[in-house]
Amino acid sequence: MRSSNIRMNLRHTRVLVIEDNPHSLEIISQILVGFGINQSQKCETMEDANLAVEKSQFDIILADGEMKGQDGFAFTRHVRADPGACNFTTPIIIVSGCPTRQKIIEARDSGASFVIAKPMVPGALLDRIIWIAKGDRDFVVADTYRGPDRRFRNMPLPEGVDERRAAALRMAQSPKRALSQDEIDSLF
Amino acid sequence: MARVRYITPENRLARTLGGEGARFVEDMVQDAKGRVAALAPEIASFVAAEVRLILELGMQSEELVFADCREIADAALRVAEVAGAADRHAIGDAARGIRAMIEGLFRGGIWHSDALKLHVDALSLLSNGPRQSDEEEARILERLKRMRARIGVQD
Repeated sequence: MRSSNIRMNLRHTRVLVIEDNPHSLEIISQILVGFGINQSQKCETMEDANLAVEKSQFDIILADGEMKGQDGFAFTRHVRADPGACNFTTPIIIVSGCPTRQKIIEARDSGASFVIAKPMVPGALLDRIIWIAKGDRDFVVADTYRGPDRRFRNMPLPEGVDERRAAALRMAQSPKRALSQDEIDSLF
Repeated sequence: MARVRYITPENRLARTLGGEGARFVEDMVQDAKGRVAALAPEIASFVAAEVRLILELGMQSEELVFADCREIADAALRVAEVAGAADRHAIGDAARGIRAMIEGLFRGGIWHSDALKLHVDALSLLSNGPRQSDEEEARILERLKRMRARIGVQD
C-alpha cells in the first residue's frame, strides 16, 4: 500500500490517543515518537478524552475499541453528534484488540475512518495516515450517519497508493487468522 | 425523506506531506519498529503474568470458571492487545479466542465449558514448554477457530 518515496513531516500533527491498557498505550506512544509526532495527548479514561475533545482540536484521534463503559465506538458517536464542535470531522481510527466483523461494521457506522488491529503495527498506522492525508473525501451529515463518505468514486487512486480491495482479495485467498488488517479495511 | 448534507472539511493532514523536514515514510516506520521492539522484554513479562492468571482461573472447576469468566475475559483481552508486539502472536490469538468465547456468553448466551477448557489448554501449550513451530501454532489456532465457528461464536 505504501510507496517508498513518500515523505511526511508529522512533527506538528496533534494526536489524541485514548487507551486504558498501559502497555498498549506505550506501544502506540513509541510508534508516534518514531513517526516524529511530538504533540500527542494521552487519555486513559473516556472522561478525560471527552474533556480533551471539548478543549482542543486534533488532527487525528486513536480510540480504544474495548474500554469499559464508553468505548471507542460510543466516543466516536459522541464526537460526531455536534456539527459545531471543533473535532466534528476529525478522522477517528478505532484501535481494537478483538476486531470482529460486528465491531468493524459498528465502527464504520459510528463514523470512524478506519479500524486497526492491536497490537498496532507502525506500517498499518502510517498507511492509514497517508490515506487520510492524500484523500479528499467529503463528510456526510445525515440523521442516521455522520462520518466520512465511504463511497469510492470511479477515479484514479492518489499517486503511490494501492487499491485496498486488491490487497484484501489477495489476503482472502489464504486466510490464516480471524480477520487480517486488509480484511478489516475491506469492510469499510 | 432523510436529509443528507455533504461538507468538505479541511484536510489538516494534507499539509504533512512533503515540505521542509519531511522524512521518508519507510524511515519513519523503521524508527517506530525499533522503538516497539525495545519494549518486547517488558511486554513478554506482562504477557506471561497475565497468561498465568488466565490459566489459574481457567483451570478451576466449571462453577468457578463461570463465576470468574469476566476476569478471564479481561485478562485475555490485555494479552491479545499486546502479545504480538513481543513476537507471541499465537498466544495473542489464543487469548483472543478465549475472549470471543466469553463474549459469546454475554452477547448470545452461548456457554460451552469444554470448548473454553480446550482454549485454556491450548493457551497453556502455546505459552509453556518448548515453543511450537509456526506450522504447529497455525494448526492449533485453526482448530480453535473452527471449533468456535461450530458452536456459533463469532470472531
